[in-house]
Amino acid sequence: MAEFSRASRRSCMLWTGLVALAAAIPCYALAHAAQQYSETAAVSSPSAAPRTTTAATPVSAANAPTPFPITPNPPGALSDRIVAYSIDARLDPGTKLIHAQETLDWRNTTGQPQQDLPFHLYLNAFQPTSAWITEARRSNPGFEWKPEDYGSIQITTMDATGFGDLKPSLHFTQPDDNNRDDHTVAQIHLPTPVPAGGHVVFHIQFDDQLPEVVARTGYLRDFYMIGQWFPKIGVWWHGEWNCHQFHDNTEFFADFGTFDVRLTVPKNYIVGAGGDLAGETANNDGTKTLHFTAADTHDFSWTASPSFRVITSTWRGSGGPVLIRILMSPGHEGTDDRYMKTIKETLDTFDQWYGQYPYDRITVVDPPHGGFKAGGMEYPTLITGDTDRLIPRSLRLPEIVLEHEFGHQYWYGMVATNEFEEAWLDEGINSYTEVKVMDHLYGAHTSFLNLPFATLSEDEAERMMYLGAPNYDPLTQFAWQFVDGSSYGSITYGKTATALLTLEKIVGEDTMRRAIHMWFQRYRFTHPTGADFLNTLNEVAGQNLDWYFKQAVSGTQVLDYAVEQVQSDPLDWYQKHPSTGKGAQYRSYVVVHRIGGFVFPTDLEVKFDDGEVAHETWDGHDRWVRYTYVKPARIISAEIDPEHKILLDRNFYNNSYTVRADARPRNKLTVWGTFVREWVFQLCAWLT
Amino acid sequence: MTSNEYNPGETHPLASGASVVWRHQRIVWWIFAINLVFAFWAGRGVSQRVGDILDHSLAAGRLLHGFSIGAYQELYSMPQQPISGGANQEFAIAFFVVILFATGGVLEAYRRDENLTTGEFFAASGKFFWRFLRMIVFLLLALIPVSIIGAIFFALNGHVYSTNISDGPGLLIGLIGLVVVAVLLMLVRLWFDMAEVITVVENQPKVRRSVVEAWRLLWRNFGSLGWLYFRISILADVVFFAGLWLWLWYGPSEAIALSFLVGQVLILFWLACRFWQRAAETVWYQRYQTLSVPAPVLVPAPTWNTSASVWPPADPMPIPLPEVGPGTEPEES
Repeated sequence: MAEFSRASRRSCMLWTGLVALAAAIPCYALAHAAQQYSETAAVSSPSAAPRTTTAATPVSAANAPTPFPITPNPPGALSDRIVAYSIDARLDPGTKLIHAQETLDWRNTTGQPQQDLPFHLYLNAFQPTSAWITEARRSNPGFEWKPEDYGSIQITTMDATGFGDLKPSLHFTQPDDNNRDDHTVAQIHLPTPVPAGGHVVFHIQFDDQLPEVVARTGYLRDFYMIGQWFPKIGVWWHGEWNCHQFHDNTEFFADFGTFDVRLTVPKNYIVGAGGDLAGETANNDGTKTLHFTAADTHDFSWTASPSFRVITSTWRGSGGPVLIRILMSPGHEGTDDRYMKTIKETLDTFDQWYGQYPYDRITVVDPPHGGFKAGGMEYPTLITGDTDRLIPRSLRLPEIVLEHEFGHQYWYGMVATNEFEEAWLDEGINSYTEVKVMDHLYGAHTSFLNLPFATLSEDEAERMMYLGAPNYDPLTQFAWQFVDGSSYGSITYGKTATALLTLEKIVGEDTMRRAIHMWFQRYRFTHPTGADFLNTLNEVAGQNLDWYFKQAVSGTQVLDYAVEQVQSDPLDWYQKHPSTGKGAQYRSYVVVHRIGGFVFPTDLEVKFDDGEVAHETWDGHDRWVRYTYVKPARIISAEIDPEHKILLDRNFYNNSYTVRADARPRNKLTVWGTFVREWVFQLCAWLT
Repeated sequence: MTSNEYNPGETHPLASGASVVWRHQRIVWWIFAINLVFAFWAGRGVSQRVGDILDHSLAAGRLLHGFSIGAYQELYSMPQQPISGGANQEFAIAFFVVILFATGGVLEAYRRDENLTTGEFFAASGKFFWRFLRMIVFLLLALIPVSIIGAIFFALNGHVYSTNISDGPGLLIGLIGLVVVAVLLMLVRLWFDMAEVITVVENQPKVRRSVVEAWRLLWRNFGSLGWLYFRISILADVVFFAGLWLWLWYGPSEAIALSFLVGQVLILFWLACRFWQRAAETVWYQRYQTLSVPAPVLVPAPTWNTSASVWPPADPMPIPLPEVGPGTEPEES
């Protein structure tokens, strides 16, 4: 398993390197890296390839029939619209089943004939022997299975226009872990290939058995959050199919397209979906059918509940009006204004900083109490919040969750990176912009918690998350190959955000904002890679930052600098009465130490008791450096990184040393610690 | 016995209890000092290690000027210098034992309402220590039904919370459960407080008898005893938490000495209230004891003949005395 993981990661690096080369970046480091990756790939076993290794059938386009040439996308299309889904679904609340018919029109833009096509069947993850559940149990031995957790998606019929019945050829594959019990990826074999430039229309009937809400999908009482619920074709990416199994830590990857969805639900249900409501029909059987359409998105999710309370408003941005529709659950009335304020201000900030929000709506779903497993999730134009009646306003959790999920409209929704393989590109960049936006809206020191006696900022929260498990995995690790969920969260969210905040201190806030802006403008409605992101940063910063990326992005080194020694000694120390008064000369030393493996140039500020301040620059390459001064003054303090640029430093406390001790911070903690202990001791004595 | 059942000129047990605590305030100061010293020593190791990190670091300012939760968390998440929780458990147990031991002496001082010599205090403490230790077993038994009731509320809360569309009913049940359990815990404490008072005042060697007698006493005087106890509890809680809130919200974060002072005043007040309860209960019981008279010997009612030869009877008919004794509501004297 370890070998497999390593090989898979290296294979990802291979592609990262190749893309960098293809972009013709005249950078020695990248070329060197690509060479390394190529060498690594040469020893990778084909069976350990991370992506679905369904090789394109070598049928020449000349031999293949071309009965269905693709039609060009309409003018104004924002994406390449490779897929067009049309789904007619009926929700049965009694049995928690969805019966649906799906028509998928898939355009072969791969440049070669395709005969074997993979499909995601995500709902099959919620079965006791699946990869998802197995990994969840591995991460948390206390994880218990209960019957309500069961979820499935079953294809009852499948055919394609001109190809006939495909059901017999449908079979499950396990490209990531060879777990034969995992049924989250299925593959079909067409009798004849779809030629390059052709298209194929699939007709699929399927039944979903919804689990009690888990991984942001399922039911809870009368609430339904329906995500990843239909057979979804994989992505042809970098010359092969990319269709991973659903893992405990993974999210999703899909092609852009159009959705035309009809949902039949009980007539008293309020429905929200990731699309525009095109029509509503009342049926004779006590149900209603709602018709939604969406374009230039890569997923379609929806929610339904008779208990929703609908709040609407309109926000006007550079792209025109946007309908905000918030579906609130009972008991969360106190959060109405918090959600609305956050979504509007976040739309504003993203619009100004990064680019236009091109859709005409955003739906916010507020899961009901106990439904936190449906909370904090992003789908195109539909996001879920997370709140509770008892969360005070000083704790900005609902705001943070909503800002974060809206940010995904940009980082995942439009800049549609591969969440399976490069989760840092969506979750990490989104965590960075979350810090920026929340700091902008709520203050740099109080963006997470703002109490009169205690505060917490967003960047501190991200840094703390990073310090939870800083050195197991690099950012580039495939999401399911992290050592555990803690490392996944720590690195993907916390380290990426902290690394980008540190980078911002190097290149400047404006430069960083321009880089993120360019990242969005250049790669929206595409599937860029990590190399694309790093190249964009280099390009906008106007400097080669690969030395930093190799450590912060590809490496697991930890950054920890310390002031090891501060000492001032009279020059005439050997005298019986060394001179110590005014004008006395001292030889002073400062020793700085690089404890961690991460090398980072930094500054050292040394203060003397005559008011003089010495500034040094340390490249950080040597493990330690001694600075010596001969002055008529003694050192009073030495501080590495005096401007506090290096947020990646795991220990801020050892970055400085003051000759004179200041016991006030310790005393403050001791006073409050003693107070709490006294009180707890008295509570214990209650038994007497 | 309720508040309007005292003799004119006799102070209410609440006031008398406060007066007793004031007169014997040395006890409160001693226990407060032990509480403080134990708490300080329990955290001394932690304080030392924290000092090693903070005393010479400029980054410590984030904890002094305001209070950064991130800086605090970082302090406790450094692998090179792990900071454990100190000796909290050991000192908590030690304080528990000290209080258990001292309770006998405290109640004896309150009973006699005179200053005990050190020897007398420790003699009384030692005399009742084992009885009170045994009493804890009964108290733990009494807590079982409270735990069951709490568990029922917890389960009910979970069920209603998870099945109801709105979270309101579940939260309400949870809140009711908390109040019910808190009241039951206070009643249990009051019950065993009275058992301890009876043990000391009556010098009752049988713990079981004290516990049963205290139960009867509480049952028959629930209103006056409960109200006596709850009033002090509520006052202690309100003052403690309001003071804490005011200080946290409006106190200057860098005023360490003042923080210490305010914190200790709150702790002292909380502690004094507990002793106030003890003293008031002792006063209440002593008055109750005074009001009680032995059960009268009832003379059988004579049967008389209504015939003319014996009518009228020679002696007036005896009037039975009121049935007053331990376990019944005394009348006003």
